[in-house]
Amino acid sequence: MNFFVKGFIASLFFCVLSTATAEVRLELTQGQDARTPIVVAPFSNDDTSVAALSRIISDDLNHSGRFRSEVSQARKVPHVVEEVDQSLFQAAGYDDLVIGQVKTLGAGRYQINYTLIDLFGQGTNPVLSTQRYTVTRTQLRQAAHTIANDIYYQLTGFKGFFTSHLTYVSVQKSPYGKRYKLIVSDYDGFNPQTLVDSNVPIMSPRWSPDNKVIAYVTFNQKGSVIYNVELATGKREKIADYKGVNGAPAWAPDGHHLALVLSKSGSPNIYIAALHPQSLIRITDGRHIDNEPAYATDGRSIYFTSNRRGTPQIYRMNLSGGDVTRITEVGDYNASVGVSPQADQIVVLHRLPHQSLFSIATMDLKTGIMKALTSSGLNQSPSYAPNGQMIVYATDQRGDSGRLAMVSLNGKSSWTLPLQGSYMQEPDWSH
Amino acid sequence: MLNAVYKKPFIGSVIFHLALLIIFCVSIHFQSSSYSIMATQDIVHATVMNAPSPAPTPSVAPPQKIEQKKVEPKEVAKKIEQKKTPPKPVVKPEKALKQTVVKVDQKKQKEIKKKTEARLQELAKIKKEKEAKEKALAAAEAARVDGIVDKYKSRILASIAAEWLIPSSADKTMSCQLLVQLSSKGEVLNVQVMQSSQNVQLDRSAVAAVYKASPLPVPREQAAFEPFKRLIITMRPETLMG
Repeated sequence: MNFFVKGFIASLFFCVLSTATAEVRLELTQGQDARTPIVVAPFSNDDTSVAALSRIISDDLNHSGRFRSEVSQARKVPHVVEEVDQSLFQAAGYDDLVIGQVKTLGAGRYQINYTLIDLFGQGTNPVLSTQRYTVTRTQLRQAAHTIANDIYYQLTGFKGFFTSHLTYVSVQKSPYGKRYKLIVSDYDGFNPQTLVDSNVPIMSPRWSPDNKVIAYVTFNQKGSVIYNVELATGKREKIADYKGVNGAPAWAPDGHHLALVLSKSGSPNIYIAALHPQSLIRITDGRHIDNEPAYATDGRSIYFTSNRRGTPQIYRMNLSGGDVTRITEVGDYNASVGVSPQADQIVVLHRLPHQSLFSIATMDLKTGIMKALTSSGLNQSPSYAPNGQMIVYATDQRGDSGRLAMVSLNGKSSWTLPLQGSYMQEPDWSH
Repeated sequence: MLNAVYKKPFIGSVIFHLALLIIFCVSIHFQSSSYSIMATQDIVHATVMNAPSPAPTPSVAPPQKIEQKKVEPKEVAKKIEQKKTPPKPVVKPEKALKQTVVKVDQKKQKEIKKKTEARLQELAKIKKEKEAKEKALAAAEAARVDGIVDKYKSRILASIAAEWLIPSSADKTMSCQLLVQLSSKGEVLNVQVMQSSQNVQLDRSAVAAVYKASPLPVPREQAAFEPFKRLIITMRPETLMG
């Protein structure tokens, strides 16, 4: 080929490259529904009481079902941003890194510095968050949960729930009969505090919207009775003590009303009790059993269980018009409804026809699609985490060991709380 | 009058130059063809004109000839002018001779011109054919390269999809656009968010996915790799896997 032809081809190529295929445009619509790999580098401190910090943070993240978290086992780990070699942690397969330092201030006080690093962060600033806390020795665990909250929020966009609490009923057998305790603990079961100790059954504890009061059911000489107990003072207030059943209290979002189930006029019906001053309105009537009310997130309607058309199913009553709609259609038993804080779904105790055991299932309120989060068993009392991303419930795997368990909505985390020594039931997650 | 006299040799010279240029361009290809004959014809014709002046040497190289020729018309013209003002009968036959020479010259030039034009057309035709051939070749080449590019496009998508952990706060209506810079080995050198999804977690997950998929599968052939130098990826979380 002579020069002329060569030149011509060269110019032609240049044209092709500079116009038609100068760039590649791709569209990706598929990704993984998997947990984000994250590593927590143990915070620097010679004080052994601090050593648990990184473990608590890592456990919290694993509990959420959003992360695959590990505490770094490396002999030398970074404590400040300047020491971080991003590529090293990238190569180990992590997306994010948590580092920190704890300074002992004396007089049992600590200063905690924590930093969250995006290992694939843009440009010169891979730091997503950095915080400083000054705490006492007893607050160290709480500080770890607070750090986990921040990490969870930064990386998922949802508020963390690691500083939230549970309330539940613990039953202990003794030679003198059973003891019932109303307990409040951290979300992971740590720091259990007894709020009420009784030799008669305690049932259905429910957090008030501001988490300052717990409503619960117990018994006196006449029968069941509903109380409110103030967490700070332990002060009790009687809410309902009517003839027959007094049960299933449910707080209205305003914190000034409670929905209750009373049978003072025959079959159990749903009432709304106003507090301060106390008053009562009946909202359902009839000879069927209406039970376990739960307020909608906006407070304008109430979900409840009713057997009005045969099997127990979930219905919703509009509080302004009084009209009732059936919500659940799948399964021959749906009860114990809880409403998601996001108002997009409910959780129920669910049983399919011809089965004897119950699973915890969510139902999308738009599509009506039900999704079982647990296998069937002796499950009970599902309750949403404050951010709506997890559910706590009671389970009895062997028939004599009541335990509390949690499952994430994405199904990636399912764990049983490490509480022992008593039979635990009826958990309710704080708001 | 003067112009007319000038014109003919001038045209001659232009044609000659053109011919030379073409020879120069396609030198090797046309070395032995009729083109060189044409050139010698030109030389012959130049010698005829040179008749009154010092004897020409046919072996002289063409460039030199051009120079001679260039000077020549002026001299001839001067001579003609000089001979016009004093009308001498002796001069007339000379003039006639000159005119016939010029006439012969004209005819020859016309012939040459025709031949040159034909030759030029032929050349243009050849050039067109060549162009068409090259175009077809280039099109086939481009199609081949496109095929390779497409194959790697889907490979890149698959490898990023495997690394993309879609955050739960994202939904199907969101998307972000990334500009990715690659080394020739497919290593991700830089990822830039061109258009944010307005969801920080989604943007971050997309950037991390591309880095984690590094090195991306890219064609080894330079022509097929070229377009991947500017890689634009739109990421929209429509389908969750696993």
